[in-house]
Amino acid sequence: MATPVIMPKLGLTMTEGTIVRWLKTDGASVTKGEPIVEILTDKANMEVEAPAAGRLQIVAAEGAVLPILDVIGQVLGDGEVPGPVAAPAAPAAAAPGPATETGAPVAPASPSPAEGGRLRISPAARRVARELGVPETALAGLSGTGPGGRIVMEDVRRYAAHSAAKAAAVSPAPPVAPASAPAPTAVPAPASAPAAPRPAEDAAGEVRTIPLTGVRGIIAERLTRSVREAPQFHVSTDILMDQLVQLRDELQPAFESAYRIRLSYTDLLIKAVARALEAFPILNSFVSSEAISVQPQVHLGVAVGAEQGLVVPVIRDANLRSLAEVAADLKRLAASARRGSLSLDDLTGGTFTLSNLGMFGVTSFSAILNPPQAGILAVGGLREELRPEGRGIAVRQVTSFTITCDHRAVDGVMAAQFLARLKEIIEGAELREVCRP
Amino acid sequence: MRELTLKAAINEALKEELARDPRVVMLGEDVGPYGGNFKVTEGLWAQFGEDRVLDTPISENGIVGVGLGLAITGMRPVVEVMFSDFTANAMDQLVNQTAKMRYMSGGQVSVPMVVRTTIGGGRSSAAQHSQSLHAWFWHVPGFRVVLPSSPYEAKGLLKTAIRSEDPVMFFEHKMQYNFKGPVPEEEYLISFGQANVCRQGKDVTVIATSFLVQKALTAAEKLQADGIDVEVVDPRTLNPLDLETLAASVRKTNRLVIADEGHRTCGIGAELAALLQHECFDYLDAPIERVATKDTPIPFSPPMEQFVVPGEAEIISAVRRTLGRE
Repeated sequence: MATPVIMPKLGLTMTEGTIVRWLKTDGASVTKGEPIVEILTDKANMEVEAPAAGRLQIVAAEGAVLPILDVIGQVLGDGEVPGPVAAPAAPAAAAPGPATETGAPVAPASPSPAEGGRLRISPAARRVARELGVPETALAGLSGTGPGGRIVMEDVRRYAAHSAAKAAAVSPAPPVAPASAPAPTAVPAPASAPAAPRPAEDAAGEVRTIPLTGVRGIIAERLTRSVREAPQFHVSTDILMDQLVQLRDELQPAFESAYRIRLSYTDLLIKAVARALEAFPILNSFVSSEAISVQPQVHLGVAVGAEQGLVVPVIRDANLRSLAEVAADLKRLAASARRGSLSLDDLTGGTFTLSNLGMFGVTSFSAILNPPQAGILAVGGLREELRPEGRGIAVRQVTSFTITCDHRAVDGVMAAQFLARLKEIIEGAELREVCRP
Repeated sequence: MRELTLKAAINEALKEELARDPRVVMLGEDVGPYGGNFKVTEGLWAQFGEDRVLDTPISENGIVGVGLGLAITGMRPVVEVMFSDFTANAMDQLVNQTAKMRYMSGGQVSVPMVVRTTIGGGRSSAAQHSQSLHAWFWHVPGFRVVLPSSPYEAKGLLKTAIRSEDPVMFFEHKMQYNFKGPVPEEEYLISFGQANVCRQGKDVTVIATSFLVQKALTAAEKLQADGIDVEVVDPRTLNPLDLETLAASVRKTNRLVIADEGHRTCGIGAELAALLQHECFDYLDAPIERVATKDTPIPFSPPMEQFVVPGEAEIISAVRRTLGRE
């Protein structure tokens, strides 16, 4: 019997996926478990494996955007001929009740309801959108001017021209907020920033259009939704870092020889933040318009600036694991992120996010929430300050921390208390205990 | 250039072909001394005599049958059927004999016959004298189907029809007989299968046939005042059809209105819409609109007839619908 290949639900927030590339040609024989197609989800590029052995019949073309559970192909058994695809197993009337938001990856949970059916768009508009690289998700937001409110070619052209103009207006300035954290293993550099990104200089000074597709499209879509849906506020504090810097320098040689890992400040901060979160379960929760679901584990997402854009790999059980495990994990994840080969397991299930731009010499910044999380912590650069000490003054290492919270779940007092707790850990005796190798 | 009425242009085409080729003969009801019901054949009987211009009894099946016999034995008959409504009387001779002869004889004989007939409402001629039944003949393989839209087209296309080896159904619109247009003095022919872009435009294509070409052109002028730039294309012949020219226009404007005076259901618009959505699917920005006669017998009452038969107003509103600008 033919086995359908479906658009898998690869994460909690995934409602549709894009066929990036078929790794096998139509009609090729495949073995069970062999990667056959690359899917772009709302988080990353993923490979999907053959559900059975046989010959592959491709149904969905590369570039197609399909809702989860849609049939994208099928694997034919011996003697079967390609034919109409079987309908995907009817997703039995979606289990009612609150989905348990464990953040478990790859769980084909209750499918999202079809969102209002097909997009009303003329064939010509669809073709032009394809030619201009305007994604389907962007089109869904357009209001059409054609007969019956249908999206027509002119609407797509106007949209594309508008986004191009917007992109041109924004691009000369280096990107600001949303937590594009650099490689976490890098040594934090004081004030002097590395070579500033060079503004795009195009021949003849022409406007260059970069369509919001792929990872950029996902970032745009998710963070726009975040800002639109979550009431966000920021609270900042300065924390003295001398002890943390000293501890890191102290542990570094042992780590180098024992684990061949270059220990970073971020590794220590992950441990400290995870410990602080233990006392503030509401900050370690998922927020929707209906409920706050408090997460039992602390899975800390760490923002990483990869070449194609921001990704947030996740350190699981960051509060329970040793500094060495955390450091090893982060090193692996950062390397994968730069190669663009993060797995879905690496990217899903985060319950809180840490974003560190310290190594670029920023003083402080605020990040945008990574939905559905309730909080994200933005870490600034290490700087030296003169502080009164006894009757004299001392040079102290200081870093600014800014937390962004979803006000639906978190109030200002709690945010302040969390920062106070973090300060207590980083500046106090507890740090050595938290950062045991 | 001199101007002729459409009926004078047809008369001139007949006269030239009768003079040019002794095998050309005409037959029909009152085409002789009376000069034809619509005065199209006036003077031809006097000039060429009753051997070449033959009055017949009132029997369409008989007239067409005689024409078919003449055609397969070496003559080039031009048969007049007064109203396309009356082709129903001659359907066996037309559909089962005339259209099939060349095929069924394995090409041993062909039927170089022209059947001239009239279409169109507007004269309060009621349900049996006002129909536009040309779609019937496009449906049947074996006929060339021709619809002139102006005196120039009428003369050039009729001369080509008379010289064609295949049977040609030639549909003249009653309301256009007295319509004047430029016709060159020198001889010319218009090849079949060559659509005519009568007016260039960029916003909407109107494919119109026969009298509705004229209506589409005046509609286009009015729409221009509203900033809507309409392209008008006349296919001139449905078989053979110049699909490429029609499709090129649709690809340019991305919107299509098809205006034809036959009844809507299974009409010219239905077939052209099917062909063109297939050719131009990725270029369409709006559903294809049809302008056609409403699916009812044509009423005798002038206001009711005007309501049922489409004209300029229907073309204008169809064009607006394709733009979402009703």
